[in-house]
Amino acid sequence: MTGLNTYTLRAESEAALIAMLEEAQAGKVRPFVFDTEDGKSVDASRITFPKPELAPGAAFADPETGENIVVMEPTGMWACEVHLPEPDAVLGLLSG
Amino acid sequence: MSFIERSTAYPVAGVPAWRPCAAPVWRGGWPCPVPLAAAVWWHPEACLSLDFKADRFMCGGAEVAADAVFAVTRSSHTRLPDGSGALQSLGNDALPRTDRGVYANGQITALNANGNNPQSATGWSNQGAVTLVNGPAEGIFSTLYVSGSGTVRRQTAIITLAGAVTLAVKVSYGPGANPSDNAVVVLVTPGSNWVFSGAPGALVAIQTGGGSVTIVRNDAGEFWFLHTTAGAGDVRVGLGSGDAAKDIKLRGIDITQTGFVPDAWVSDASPAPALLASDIRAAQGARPSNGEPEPFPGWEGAGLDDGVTVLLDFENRFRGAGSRRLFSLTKKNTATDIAVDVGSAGNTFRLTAGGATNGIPGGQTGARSRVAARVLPDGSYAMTQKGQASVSTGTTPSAISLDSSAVIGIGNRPALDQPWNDWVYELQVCRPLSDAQLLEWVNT
Repeated sequence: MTGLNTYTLRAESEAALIAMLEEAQAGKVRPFVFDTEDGKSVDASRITFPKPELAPGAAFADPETGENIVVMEPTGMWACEVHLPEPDAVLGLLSG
Repeated sequence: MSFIERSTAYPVAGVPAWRPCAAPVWRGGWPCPVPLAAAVWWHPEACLSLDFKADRFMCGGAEVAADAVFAVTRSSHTRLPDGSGALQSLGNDALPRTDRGVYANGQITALNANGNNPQSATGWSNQGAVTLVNGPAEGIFSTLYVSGSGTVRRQTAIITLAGAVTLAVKVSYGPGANPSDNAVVVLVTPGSNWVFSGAPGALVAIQTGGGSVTIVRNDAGEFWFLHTTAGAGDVRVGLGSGDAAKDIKLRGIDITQTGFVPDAWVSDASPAPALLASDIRAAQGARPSNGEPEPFPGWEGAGLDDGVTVLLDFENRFRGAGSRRLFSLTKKNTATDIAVDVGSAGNTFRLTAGGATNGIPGGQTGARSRVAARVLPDGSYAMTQKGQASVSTGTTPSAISLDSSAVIGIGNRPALDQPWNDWVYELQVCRPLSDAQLLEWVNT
């Protein structure tokens, strides 16, 4: 993804992320969200699928190796990344 | 003896000295400057021909460069193997093509789920904590960790599944390991016990009770396996109890992928370890009649609004994947005019036209195949595939307004939610061909 502008959007749900992308796509030639028979889908060629956000959780020792283990845990938010060749002011505001 | 028989314009060998369609020399015509029928690599009735393996492309009867016939969108690098197995790096928006063909990949996220070192194969360990992130459809979190086990000899990666998902795991052997050993064991609880083996580069598919597994070795010692779970349980990856100690590295885990695990490799370029979908479309033209978009320049002029034939040569290794689209012809609003895909039932290739879907006779091959389909605006269609001795014909419930067709999608549809996830070798769009011509092409 060299030379791309990356915007990380966060929201409390997948539907809220989709709504943010629909707001940001207004006036653009290529939409960020597609309508399908199964519902709305992000442009998979430029946007990672929305997924639950993770953050490092509390460390604990592996019972067999003794190694310190940090497991990623959900934060309760959803996130996706938009990768564009050109800067996008609306996404800049939404990701701020 | 007549005048014609004595004319020097007809040499003894029998080849006329002027074009049959032009006036002879003594009536003011010019000698024919070129052979009467120049040999071409595309079908004589083709208006668009895309030979991905040979990297040659034709539009409107003339060879053109790739960037003149494709509009590709993909905001990520990808890596694809060429015919010798060497990985080729392809940048943003580059046609995902090597001399194997074009690889129409869907998006793969969470490929490198190792939380310790998500960006590179360097430093991957089978002893660290790994967290899996699933896709949006399932909404499940699973944790992968490593521990000993009474069943396997060394550390085992355990993937806890909270429900039915399709799981893809990429496994590599440590340095010095022999990838031909029957060494990697996957245990699915409750259920089956699989041992994987096969020569490097081989495609191995194993069917067991409770699920199916497909393995692709991309190069020596590395391969993917894919498993669709029937329900909650654990997937364990480790060494067989009778095998010598060696390292096994889990290099990528993706439980968002619902189709074939691709040959495409995620870029290790920082920061994002995601492979985005390749949106591959034919570059559009403008209709001379009204300025509206047409699927490619010259579509309307060639008379394709009055009927069209699609010829496809492709790979279909993952039999029965479902919801994989090989070709789509759509309108500006993405409504489907024609589509060739694999249905969710997974038993046949299908032709969709006029709002109806019909199975292309012959079923799926699980290997390389060729499909030919002819569609006319009145809804009549004909279709066949490699190995068939006849053409299946019918009429759709409604007419097909090809005069508003606007987009050709290759290996997906415009919504990018049905990636083919395998190689496409050739696509030709022709004027309507006869049944005999369809059969001749698929069985060539």
